Amino acid sequence: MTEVTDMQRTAIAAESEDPAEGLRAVAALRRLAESLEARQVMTARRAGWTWEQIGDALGVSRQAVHKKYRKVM
Amino acid sequence: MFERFDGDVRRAVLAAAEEVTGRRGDPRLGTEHLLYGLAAVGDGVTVDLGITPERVHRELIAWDLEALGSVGLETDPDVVASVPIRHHRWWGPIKHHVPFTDGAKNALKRSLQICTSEGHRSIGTGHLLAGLAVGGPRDPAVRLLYRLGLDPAVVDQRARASWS
Repeated sequence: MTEVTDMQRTAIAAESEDPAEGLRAVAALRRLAESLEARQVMTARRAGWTWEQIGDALGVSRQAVHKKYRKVM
Repeated sequence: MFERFDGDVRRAVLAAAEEVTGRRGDPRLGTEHLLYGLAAVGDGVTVDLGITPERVHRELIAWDLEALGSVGLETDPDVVASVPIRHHRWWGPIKHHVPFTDGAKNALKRSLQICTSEGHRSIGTGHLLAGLAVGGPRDPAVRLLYRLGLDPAVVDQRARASWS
């Protein structure tokens, strides 16, 4: 029960480190998430997923995902 | 304020700074991108100090990896360096102007102040480098200078020496 989970370790590291590094990590993570999202949405569209199905999988509305990625398609 | 920049220098520094901002997928153009722009233009003090665009770009990626590692997220360098989607072939390179961070705006203001106080007519790369070097310990460009093995105070002196 005393085992420290990865999530807790991340939270502990985030608190003890220099804020500059932590904030930099957040910015890098956002960029990675954006890049990953775009790639996955394109893969899903090519595989025949509807905007609604993609939105449901991402936890956002069909309109939100369509507005963001329609130009790419 | 940016109109006071020498036309060709301004275009070259900004174009390179915008390019690397888009290539990295950063939402705003910050002081670290301006430093890259100066390195890409590659004249005077940046060359003497060994600040090349390749080194700046590599150091930005290394910094991202270390930052992610500091919060317990080990990542592959290739993933961090991967081409962001805005530069992807379906979308093409971003065409609109990228907004500046407050830090980048302030660095440009400082460059203008330095230029004016020296009685120079137009802002050159030396003024911009001096403006970036005195940004304070939390500024991204200043941290990048440290990462490149340079003391910002020395960079400031060298920039000032370049026009005296």
